[in-house]
Amino acid sequence: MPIRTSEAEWVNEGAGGGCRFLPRSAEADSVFDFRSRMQAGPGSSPEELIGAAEAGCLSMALAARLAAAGFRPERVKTTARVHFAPKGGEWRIDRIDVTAQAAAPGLTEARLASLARQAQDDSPVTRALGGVYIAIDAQLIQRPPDVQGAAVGPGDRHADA
Amino acid sequence: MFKAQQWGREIAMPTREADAEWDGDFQSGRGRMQLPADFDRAFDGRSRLESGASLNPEDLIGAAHAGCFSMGLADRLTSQGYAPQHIHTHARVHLGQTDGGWRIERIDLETEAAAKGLGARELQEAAESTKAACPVSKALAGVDIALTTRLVEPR
Repeated sequence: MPIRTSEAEWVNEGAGGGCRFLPRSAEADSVFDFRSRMQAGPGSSPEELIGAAEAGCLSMALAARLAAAGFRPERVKTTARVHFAPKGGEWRIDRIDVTAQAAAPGLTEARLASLARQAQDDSPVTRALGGVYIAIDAQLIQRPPDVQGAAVGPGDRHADA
Repeated sequence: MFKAQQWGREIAMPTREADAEWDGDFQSGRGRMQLPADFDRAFDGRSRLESGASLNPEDLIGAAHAGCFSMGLADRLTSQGYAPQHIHTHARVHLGQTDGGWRIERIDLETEAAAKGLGARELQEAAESTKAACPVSKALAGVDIALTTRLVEPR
């Protein structure tokens, strides 16, 4: 049963932050065929793009929910695993497992879990995918070293950093 | 981009567009989903409400739907005895605002198909069945899907 994994990441880049799809989640020209789609062969598939859309939309919605709740999100990374399988003689997207990882000062696991569920309700892509069971798991992560600036002292920063 | 009324004021509703093609029959053919914008450019709230150079989640939904539909139509035409040569589907994804926030309200699929011996009515019927059966259509249960078909002369 093919499972497609796609990822997107929201990063606070100053003016409100921006979201990116991570490589391999989608490519500029996504070529696909029977083998890539139904047998998880090399190449892309529509399900890969569905996963990337879900991951991107949820990352953005969760960053917005965190900000609205008074947190300053630094990073939200979402992985979507899209299950594509034959059911009763026809192929179906029957489940998407979403893992949302977020870093924000003062954020707790419980609060993140609750905000992630609310973000699911906000996300236009999740709402559009009304025919699919979507499970969400939220994980608190530490600030990444490049954002934390652990390896770079204040005096070592570049002028444009 | 179509217009809508909101609180007595006309606002432009964002529309995102994507294309996909399928060449050949179902088993041995090959598809290509074309993403309309720059993969590496970050998207944000503004880019999703404008047409522009950032790749947005709605672009991916449109490309996935166009790709799934094109492959599904090739499958259906193949099983009906036609040998599909080329199928091209254009998807327009309409985002709209409701009380509960932004929603993907409608997707317009415009498909062109070339297969020897295929007539316009047969194509329309096969496309309607594909619209209902394609796995991405079924996943997108919360969205209205509109369909237009056009027969193209096979080479």
